[in-house]
Amino acid sequence: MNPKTWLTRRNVLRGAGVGLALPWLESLCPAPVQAQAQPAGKTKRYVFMYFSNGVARAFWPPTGAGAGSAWQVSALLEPLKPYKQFIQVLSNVGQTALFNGNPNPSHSQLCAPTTSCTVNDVAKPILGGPSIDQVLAQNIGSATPFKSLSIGCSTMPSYPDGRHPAISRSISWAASDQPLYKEVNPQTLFDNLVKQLAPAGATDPATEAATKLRKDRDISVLEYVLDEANSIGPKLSASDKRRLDQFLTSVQEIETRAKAQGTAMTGGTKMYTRPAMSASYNERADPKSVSLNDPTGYNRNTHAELMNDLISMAFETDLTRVVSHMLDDARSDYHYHFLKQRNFQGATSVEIDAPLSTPLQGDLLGLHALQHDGDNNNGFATVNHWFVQKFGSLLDRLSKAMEPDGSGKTVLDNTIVVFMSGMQGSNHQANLLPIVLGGGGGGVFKTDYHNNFPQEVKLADVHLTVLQSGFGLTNVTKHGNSSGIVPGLLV
Amino acid sequence: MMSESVKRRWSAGARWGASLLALASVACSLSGSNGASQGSGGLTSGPGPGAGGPPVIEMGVDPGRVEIHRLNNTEYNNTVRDLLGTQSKPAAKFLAEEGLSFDNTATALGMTSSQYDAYFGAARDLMTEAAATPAELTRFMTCMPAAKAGDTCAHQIVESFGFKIYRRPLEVGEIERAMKVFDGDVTRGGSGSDAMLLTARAMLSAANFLYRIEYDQNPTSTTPHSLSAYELASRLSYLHWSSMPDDALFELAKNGTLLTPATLEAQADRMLADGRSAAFVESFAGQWLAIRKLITHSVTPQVFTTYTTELSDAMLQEGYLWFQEFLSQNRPLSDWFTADFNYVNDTLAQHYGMTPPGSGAQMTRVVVTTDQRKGFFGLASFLTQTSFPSRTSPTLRGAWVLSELLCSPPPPPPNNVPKLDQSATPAEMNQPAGTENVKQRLERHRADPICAGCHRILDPIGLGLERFDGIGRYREAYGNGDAIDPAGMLPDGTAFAGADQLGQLIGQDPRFPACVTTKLFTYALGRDVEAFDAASLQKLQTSWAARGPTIRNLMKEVVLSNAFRFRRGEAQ
Repeated sequence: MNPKTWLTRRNVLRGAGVGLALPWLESLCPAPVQAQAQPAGKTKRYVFMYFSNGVARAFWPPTGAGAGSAWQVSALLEPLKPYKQFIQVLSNVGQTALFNGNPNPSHSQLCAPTTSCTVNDVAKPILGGPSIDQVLAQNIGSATPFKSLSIGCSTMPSYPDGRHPAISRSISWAASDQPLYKEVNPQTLFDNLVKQLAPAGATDPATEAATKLRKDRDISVLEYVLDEANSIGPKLSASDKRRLDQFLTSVQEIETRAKAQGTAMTGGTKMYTRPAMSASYNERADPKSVSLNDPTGYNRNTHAELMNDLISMAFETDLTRVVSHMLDDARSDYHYHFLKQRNFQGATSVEIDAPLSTPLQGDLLGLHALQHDGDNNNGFATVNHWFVQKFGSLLDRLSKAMEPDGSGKTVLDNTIVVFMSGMQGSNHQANLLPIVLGGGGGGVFKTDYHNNFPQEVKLADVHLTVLQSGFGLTNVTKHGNSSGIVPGLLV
Repeated sequence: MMSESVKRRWSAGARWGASLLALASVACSLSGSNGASQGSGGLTSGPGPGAGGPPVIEMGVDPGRVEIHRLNNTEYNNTVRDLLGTQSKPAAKFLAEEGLSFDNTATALGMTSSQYDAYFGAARDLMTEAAATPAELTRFMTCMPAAKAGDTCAHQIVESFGFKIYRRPLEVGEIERAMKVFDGDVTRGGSGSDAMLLTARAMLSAANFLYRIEYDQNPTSTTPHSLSAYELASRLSYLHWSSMPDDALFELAKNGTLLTPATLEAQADRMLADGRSAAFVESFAGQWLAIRKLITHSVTPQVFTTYTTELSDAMLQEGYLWFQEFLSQNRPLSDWFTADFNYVNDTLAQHYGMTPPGSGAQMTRVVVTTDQRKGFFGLASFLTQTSFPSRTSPTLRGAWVLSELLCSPPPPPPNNVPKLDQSATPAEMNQPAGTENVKQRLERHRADPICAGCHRILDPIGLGLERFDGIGRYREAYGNGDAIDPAGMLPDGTAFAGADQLGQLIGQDPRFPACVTTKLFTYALGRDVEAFDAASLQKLQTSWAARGPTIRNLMKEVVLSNAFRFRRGEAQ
């Protein structure tokens, strides 16, 4: 049999034009690799799923509060209706205290949700850190080949308002001056992931020897590189040393991965196909594209679905347990013109055959322009609705993926997805942030619940709760401006 | 999709660069085989043998320091091209650069594991390609290594090819370290050739290749010292070519003469005349003048129906060629807003309302004095990249002129931008009479006190350019029939009418040459301007004025400046 059995004949993801509402590929593999049994309940995973520019708040808050039938989804949360049993909506979480009472942080600070830091210099990529995903990566990341993945969907240049682009393009920060730029190309991400997977089925001795030789050579190169970089260090000044440390850390991670290459067990019976669509920054814009600035053949919806596939793949194969994912850059002005306008009313919305528009500004607008036309405009809400859909489609995938430990649990059961934006809505405010938690995080967090806090809860306290209660990291006593955990989130 | 073929090429640049590149790639024989015997090479800061004594730094001018400097994606592609003769552009698959002022700013060039993974894979792919490509292989496989530990030929290649990879002679310990990779692979059963390729791959994966590292003998001393001749060779080549030094530069570094001002000046001339300097135009002018932005700029197709890939390509090429003429013809900066030449092909000429030169897609220099288009403000590349997809933005144009030509950026927009009650988008297509035009809309915007602070400064500059639409066509009326009054005003209250007068005013503003100096200084060093650079910039202004205010002369003065030739450590 073909040793690369993660390739399947099924061309589900053939083209950019193919709708991808399909669940991730089921097995065509007659002899699946069995995953190593892991102690049940030990594997916990985290996704920070970021969307930009806030929401049209008029259509966001759920009705009612509490558990189960005591609350109902709003028009903007309607795509989550099928997944209501997996989610917890948080109302009245914010960062007002963080911004010293100033409720209007600038777009440049909108990546602060992961770091809970406000310092940003116009010229330097300093936001604060490590971000919540990196705190987790540093604590639980060494269990998997990838300590964490930083991924996203943008393909166009950022709009940093004259500030460092990292501030709007990166939510993952290893340290205050170390943005972890996200990978946006689904093909590259896929290639990096599959390198780690063991081929399903038997391999012949010749192939095995070739694989071993390749791996030994990779490692000898990396040993040279590390040895050499270590010899340079003592000759450098403090700030140069810091930069070299970034290099060393990166090389070490690749070395760890190289050593484990081809050994990770594919979880259960899934097989994976290389995405047909690539995407990257600075591609040539297609002047005739429907969504302005898109490279030729690009489709944002396909891109987002592929990224969800890859998150699911990385979790099922236990290649990583921590992901940060930006559905778009902060202060995005991306033109979501692949979407048709929806009319929002009451707890629902209907798609109409018209381009995205706002009552005051008309059509042909990017997200930022849509956003600034108020919290009850349908054009803005249509894009928000799409973000929520993508969150829903990730929940869908993870809820259908079974844990490979035979516990009968789904991947989602042991995952906590924090889906949120860094601002409230058209007003830029840092209070009343739109946040939904997905998954129970191993039975830790309430699900099918609307938590309507009477007083503003600090976002950093939500993060601290995830770290301490969700992941048992009692050694982490503070994150950003946190003051304590939020027991109300917990079961 | 996303294939190489959809990427833009600056064909004119490639044209005049091709012959010289071919020459350079032939002259690849190595002169550095005894480099290591000359001491620690890149690690020394004094001059090499043959120099007329150590360079002397001017007192009172702090040269500052540049942090270790990762090759950016362009530099990586160009470097492996010049090193190996490869045509593959591995960086096309790397993560996008996050430039600050320019994409070569050292402090903005970080490293993450996924970035390193890409470098690591690229080195492997390059050596796989070289193994199968005799023209590439023979560049460095100057003898046939035998499969035995410590092989003499392998040692020789490590020394000679390593010199090119690290852009300086290797120290003895460095050669030994590389030979361990070779020996290890021989033990593993690799052939001499396999082991050599693996060793080269290791060096291509190393910090000394991926970063430009400049050493201070005492990293904690803030006393300025000269760069080593090899470090200076790299600063020169990455400034002029966005690539590694060539053999001629290496030779001048080896004998130390590169450290003398006369040699430096001569090299600056030589390098600018070389076709590889197209990289400087694309990179420096491409970013400073935002010509590159055209690659990702698109317009609303319903509004600008004539905007095509061909047209925006022509705009892009004109931007490069226009700047290039200032360099190659050594034109004075005072021509910037008055020079009445354009580079067009048939498509762009049509767009400009000029008679097509009949050159098809080929860019041709034309002088048309009967039109309203003159100087930098008449370039479609500028006029388009400062517009919205569906219309002009006087605000953006004003902000761009202030921040990029005068280095006086307006403050960023307030955090809480109030929404402006506005009717339908004042697009540039045909609209009924009476529809609000762009100027009227902005007037209402300025009536809002929160907005007025900045818009009062920005809009009147851009309003003076309103006779050029969102893709740079000349017009005298809006789509709704309203006549366009090109009256504008500078922040200091000086009134003007139209692009021509605006050009004259900006051209006379002392901030303009000062801003060009700052931009080039920033790019040449690959670091941000710091407070202590005031002295450097002041001195540059004076020496530049004395030499004659052309961009080429400015480059020379920058190359001769303390900041370019010296560095210091940093206090602990």
